[in-house]
Amino acid sequence: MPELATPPQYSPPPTAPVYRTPARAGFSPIWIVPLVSALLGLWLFGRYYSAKGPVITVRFENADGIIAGKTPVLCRSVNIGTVSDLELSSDNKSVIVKLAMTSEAKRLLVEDSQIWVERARYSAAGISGLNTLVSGNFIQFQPGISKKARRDFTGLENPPPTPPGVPGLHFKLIAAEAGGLGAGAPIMYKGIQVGKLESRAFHTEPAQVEFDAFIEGAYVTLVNQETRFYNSGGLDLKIGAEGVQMRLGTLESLLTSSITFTDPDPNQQHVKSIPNGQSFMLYSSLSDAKKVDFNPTIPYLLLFTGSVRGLSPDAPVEFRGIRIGSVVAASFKYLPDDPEHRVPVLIKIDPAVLMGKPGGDQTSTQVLITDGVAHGLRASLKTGSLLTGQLFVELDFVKDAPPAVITGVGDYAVLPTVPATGLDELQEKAGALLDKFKALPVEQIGENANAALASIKDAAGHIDKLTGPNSSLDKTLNNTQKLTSELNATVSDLSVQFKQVGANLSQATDTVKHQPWRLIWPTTKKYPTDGAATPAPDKKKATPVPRKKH
Amino acid sequence: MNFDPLTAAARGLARCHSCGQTGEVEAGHCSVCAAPLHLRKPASLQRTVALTLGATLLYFPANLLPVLRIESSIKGGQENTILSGVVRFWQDGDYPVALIIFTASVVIPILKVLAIIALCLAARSGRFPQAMTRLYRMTEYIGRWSMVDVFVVAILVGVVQLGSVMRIEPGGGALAFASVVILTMLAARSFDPRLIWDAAAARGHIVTTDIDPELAGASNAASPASHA
Repeated sequence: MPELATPPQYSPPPTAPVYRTPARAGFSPIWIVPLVSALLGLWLFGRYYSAKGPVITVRFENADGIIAGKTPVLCRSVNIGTVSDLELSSDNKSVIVKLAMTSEAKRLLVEDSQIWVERARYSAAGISGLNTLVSGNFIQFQPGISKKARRDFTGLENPPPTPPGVPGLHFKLIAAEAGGLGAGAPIMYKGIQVGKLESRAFHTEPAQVEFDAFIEGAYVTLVNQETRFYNSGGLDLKIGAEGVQMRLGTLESLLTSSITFTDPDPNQQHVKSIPNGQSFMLYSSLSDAKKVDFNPTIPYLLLFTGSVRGLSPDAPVEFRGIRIGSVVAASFKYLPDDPEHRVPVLIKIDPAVLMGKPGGDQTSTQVLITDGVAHGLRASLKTGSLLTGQLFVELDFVKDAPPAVITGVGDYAVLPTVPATGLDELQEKAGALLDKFKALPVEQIGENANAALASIKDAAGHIDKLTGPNSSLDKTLNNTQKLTSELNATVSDLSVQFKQVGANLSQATDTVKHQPWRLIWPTTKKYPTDGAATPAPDKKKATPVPRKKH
Repeated sequence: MNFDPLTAAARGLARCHSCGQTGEVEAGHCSVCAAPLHLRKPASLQRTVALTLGATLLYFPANLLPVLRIESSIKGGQENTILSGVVRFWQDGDYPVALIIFTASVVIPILKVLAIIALCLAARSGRFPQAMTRLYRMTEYIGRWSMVDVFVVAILVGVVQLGSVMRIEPGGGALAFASVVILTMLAARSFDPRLIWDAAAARGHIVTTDIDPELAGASNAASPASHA
């Protein structure tokens, strides 16, 4: 807009009043607006950050399937946060995941809370987390029961089978080998699952496997100090003195191992309360678990003169069929320099079984056995199974046993033994029989037999002579033949005569039949010849006929 | 305030805000529609400044707080601020959408607040009255376009309610953003651009009579009416 050099000035008419705006209006109520805005802004921020809740850090081994800003944190399927950030730890060995939790989650962030990544898994407990295949992995949060707050967590690689705070008994099982058991394997009792294994760890010193086990609250009373846990999974096949034992659980147990436990003496009152964290042995089988029932035991040494082949460790020691102990081992170490080279077998006898009451005291048992030995109690090897040849030790009273006493050898008391019975005895007898056979003069018998055979041959030659073509026997036979032909001719003559006799006889009988009176009156012609004649009685007819013949 | 003697205001004449009838301010009411008569919008600058301040205060929560929260049972909760939405669209390759949202939701509110501040300053200093008047017109015109975001949120919240599977909730940022847009619109509205000219005239930045000299004498009453 070009400026005019000399703009014409307009001057208002002097009469016109120049309007003036009123003086500055004081405080306008419009200033409430920024005030309200500020308050609104503060409220929005406050609400947002109070709802945001704390940010916690969790250390994981890897961040497989975790996406910052997306992966949710769930607690019982309720969203309580989101992964806000992922970063490698400073030592590059783990991943630090930052979780933006909701404000409600604040009280869940306590010391014993557990956090792990839920993903599809296959474990002994089965397949889990299949839904994560669709939804993607998420972070599972398991609140603890502690009151102590915590912000830094270490994530678990595998979900804990038992959430903290669930009533039950946590304890340890120590086994020589894992035997197919892993975290999640069930603990069964009478076919019911009462607990499970939570984790498995292998310790190198000493080399053993340690399981963390959990029994549900309702079943805690089933476990006591005496409970024996054993691996019940799979197939248990054992060949011993008791024969072939096969134990097969369910088909499921073939696939996944499980743990079972047994109470050696259910009637006995045990200390009921087991503290958490107690260690138990985990036996590899039921028989293993039962073996340790004999406790404490009394050791005895047996000295056998015969072979102990077939006597394996843990073979039963029986008294009249009742197992009262077991064989520890057969080894020369118990009696290193025995001039008789007897085989030392160490057995242990359970006083509890022998005395018929649990925990029977050792002294009275020893007295009982010593007393028994004085009355003929002897140990012997017996065959438990003919099939496998497994031996067991039997204690029994032997009649007319040579008197013996318990002697001491080294640290052990020696029970007197008697020679083996059963298969061993049979073997011995068979051996003796064989010896007798051996003692027989076989060569002489053979020679005699040869001589006998020669005589038989001679006899055969004689017979040959006797039956030769011009031998007397031949002649005799010829004569006999002649005689026979003559006899034949005579007989044919005779037969002709016989025929005549027969004809006469038939005539006679005919006559007798039709004219019986002729028996009495030979020539009577005054009687009619027709059949009106009265029959004569049989007796009268029969008797004269032979007369007639003659 | 002294008005240029050439203006109608100097004569105590004011145009009615409602019906446009020019009347004596002294009368207090419009002779036609009985609306209150003011020479200038009352407390215009004060109101504008107050509303702009309010808008500025709310601009921070509007951009820092999420405007949209997606609650999905599958993917978990997800919050989006305006800027994160822009970034996401940009990363996904939806450049036009990203640009539109960025312009309408981030740039324009800032520009508007800056423009209003500039207008307020001009109302005091009276510099560049014509440019400032143009700026005022643009500001007022452009204002409502910023509501795009709010509309989007309103629609999404209403439509995406898939029960337990997915749910969209407005975040705090949406309320703040809507407030920002409304406040800037009100601020622009409450500003009286004539104040610029008043100030310009008072400070001598313009000569009131930048009108045709020939017309000056003949239509000395009509000329100020254009400013009135």
